[in-house]
Amino acid sequence: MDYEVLMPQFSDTMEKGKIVRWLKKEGDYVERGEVIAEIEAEKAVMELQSFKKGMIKRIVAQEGQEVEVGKPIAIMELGERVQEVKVSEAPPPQSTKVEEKKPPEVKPQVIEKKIELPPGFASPYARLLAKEKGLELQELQKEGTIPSPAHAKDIENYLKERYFTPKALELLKDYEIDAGELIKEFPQTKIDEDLLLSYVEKMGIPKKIPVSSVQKSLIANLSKSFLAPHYHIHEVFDLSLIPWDKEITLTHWLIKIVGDAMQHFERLRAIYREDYYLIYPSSNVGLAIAVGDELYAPVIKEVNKKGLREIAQEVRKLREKSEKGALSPEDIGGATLTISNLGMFGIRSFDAIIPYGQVCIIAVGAQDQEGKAHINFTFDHRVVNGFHAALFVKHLKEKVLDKNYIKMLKKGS
Amino acid sequence: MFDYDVIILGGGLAYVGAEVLKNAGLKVAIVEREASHLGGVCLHEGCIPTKLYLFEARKVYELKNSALISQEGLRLNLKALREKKQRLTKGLRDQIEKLLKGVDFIYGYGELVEPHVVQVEGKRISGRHIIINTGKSYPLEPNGNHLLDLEEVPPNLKLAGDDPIILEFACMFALMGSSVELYFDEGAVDFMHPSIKSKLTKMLKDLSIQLRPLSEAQKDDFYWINKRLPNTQCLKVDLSKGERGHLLVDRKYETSLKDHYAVGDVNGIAELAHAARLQAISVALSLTKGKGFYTPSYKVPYVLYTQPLSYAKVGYTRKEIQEKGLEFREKSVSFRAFAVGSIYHTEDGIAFLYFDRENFLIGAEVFGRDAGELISVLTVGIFSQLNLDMLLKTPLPHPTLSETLFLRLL
Repeated sequence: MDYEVLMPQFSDTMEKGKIVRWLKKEGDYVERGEVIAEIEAEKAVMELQSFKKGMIKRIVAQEGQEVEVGKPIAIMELGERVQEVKVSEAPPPQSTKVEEKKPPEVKPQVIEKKIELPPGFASPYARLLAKEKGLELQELQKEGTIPSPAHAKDIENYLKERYFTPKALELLKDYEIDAGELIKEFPQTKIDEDLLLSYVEKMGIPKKIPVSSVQKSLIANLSKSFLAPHYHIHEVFDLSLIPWDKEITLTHWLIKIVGDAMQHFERLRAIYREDYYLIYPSSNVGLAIAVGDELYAPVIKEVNKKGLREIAQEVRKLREKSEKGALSPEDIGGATLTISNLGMFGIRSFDAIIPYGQVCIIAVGAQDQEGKAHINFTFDHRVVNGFHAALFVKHLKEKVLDKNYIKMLKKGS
Repeated sequence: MFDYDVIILGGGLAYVGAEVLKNAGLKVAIVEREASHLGGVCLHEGCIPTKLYLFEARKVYELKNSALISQEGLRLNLKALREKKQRLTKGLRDQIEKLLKGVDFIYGYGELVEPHVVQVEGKRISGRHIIINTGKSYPLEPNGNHLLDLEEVPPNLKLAGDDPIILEFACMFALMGSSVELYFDEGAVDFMHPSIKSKLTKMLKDLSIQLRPLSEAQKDDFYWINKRLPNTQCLKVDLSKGERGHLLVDRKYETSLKDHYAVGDVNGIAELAHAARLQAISVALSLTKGKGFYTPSYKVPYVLYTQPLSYAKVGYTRKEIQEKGLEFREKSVSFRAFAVGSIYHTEDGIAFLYFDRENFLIGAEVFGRDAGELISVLTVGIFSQLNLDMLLKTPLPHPTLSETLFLRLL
């Protein structure tokens, strides 16, 4: 009678499991309760015991293969051990014949019984491996070098890892190289940083740089934003009247002027929800800040109520927090418009993508000799139509040339 | 609720843990029986004074035995040496109090009378955590402690005991010029590589130390250097004990009673000051940072500071490897083959390095001048899991004894 050994569900959340190792092979006889395989699921390795006794007829899932819970991984033929019965009952003259037929798997079992396995909390196979390699399993587990409970895989990893200097081992994580492959390439060698790097160069192996959680959410949001219907307005602004300095930079001035302008255009303070718009009373302006690989857009809230100096101070504080990666959800939420300035790098003109959920981003280019700068706007068409946008941009262009307004801001700062 | 965050019972080397605890802002008390004995056996009768004595004795021996320097009537002023020892240990002892400013030192005989409560001469203090650091003492008197208080070099000296440390005392006084009778069973150093053991025995013989079986030792006029026993009589609380009365601890050095730790000699893991130091730091780290560390005893180097040549081991010895039935390769280096061997009078020195089947260094034994220094480089080798390939490529300065360790690996 055939019986399917199914991938067991070790926990409620387990969906599939990986065969780490088969401890029995096709043709092996298995007693009830005997461990037949090691299975990895949800980062833990567990032993699979047989519920039935019989012979393993066929292994369906190979080592390293992932199998869904409830799918067959092996076929067993249930029943008593046939050959062993023969051996015990058979008269002496036939014994030579039987010995020929004797399955080879009996041998390891005999050895296992003889060997006194080292102490330590580990699977029998792991303990056998530790014994073979002369490892003080229990001591190494106490030291934390080998995890507890330990599985054969842990012992194998330990045996591989010692071929690397600690630094090389750290470096190994940056490349998709199998440790075993390197050990084969450089037999009997302690692999150090230099050797690893020269191998990487020779083989042209790319370096793996993990995407941070901040970047992941940024990437997801950018992709969503880009799908929203949007359009650009490209304009040249005369910013020659703005008396910016080191203390209060052009960016600080623009945050203030844009924030004030937003008060006259409620759609620039809006958030789009399928059936309605939410209009914020205050002008909350985001500012794009790059820190290494990360891009943050902390928000200066209620810009319309704040003076230039106050804005400058807040921007400085938010920049410090960004550099430390210490921005709170409050620091980055609530903006409807963001300013991105690449002018300080001499970039003449560029377009930007609206941060997800906002309605506009303003991309500021470098000022030329006469104080003129390209400023490009990206609008979400679902919220701000061309007409509104044109009025907003026109208003801004007038404001930056309004001497009295500029004077007032400077005084107010 | 508790008077202290941590009470350390015993002022031995584990005081290094107090520094970590104190710097983390914990309220710490150290209870020590005798104010003058702060620093423990290591500072007052063990590691430190014996090294001072051995170093001075070696000078005398070397000048006396030099074929190139003629010096008549050399004599070690033992009284002056004793005074130097007292100045040295007193100075170091006072430094501990200075280092641990902010820690309460409570002098007097302390007993753990109930969980979390230490009673010092009638006064009760309580601690959230207790670190038992009571150490060990010689079971018999007079012993090694008294030898370090002698004011004259004795013409004849009888030593008896089963602790290999006795060999350090035997060499110390033989080098000073005493005629030493040593009642000691050689079986106690069977852990050594047989060829080192025979070289050691020969060295004792060359120093005119007369070796006799321990069973022949009489009670009177002997100094007894027996294996020391854990000081647990001051623990009135039921704690699980193992072999020879050592306190049983887990990998965090916690005893069978929660929040009560045992570090140093009293737990019997390794009767070595450097092991005690690491254990104390590990406990302090687990109390302050939530994570300590465990050092397997076989990885802790052991040194027998005999003179003129000493013995040191780290990792597995040849005997241990053979008992485990492991396949291994032994690489030996005899110092006689090198210029430094001759220059530093260590022609009889030898080192054995053991490698596993895959050529990783798993143990080493060294017999030579300053073996304690030589073993350090091998200890680092074992901790960093170096193999034959790496050791071969490691440049060591020429001409040194350390260098020669790696010159016969090809």
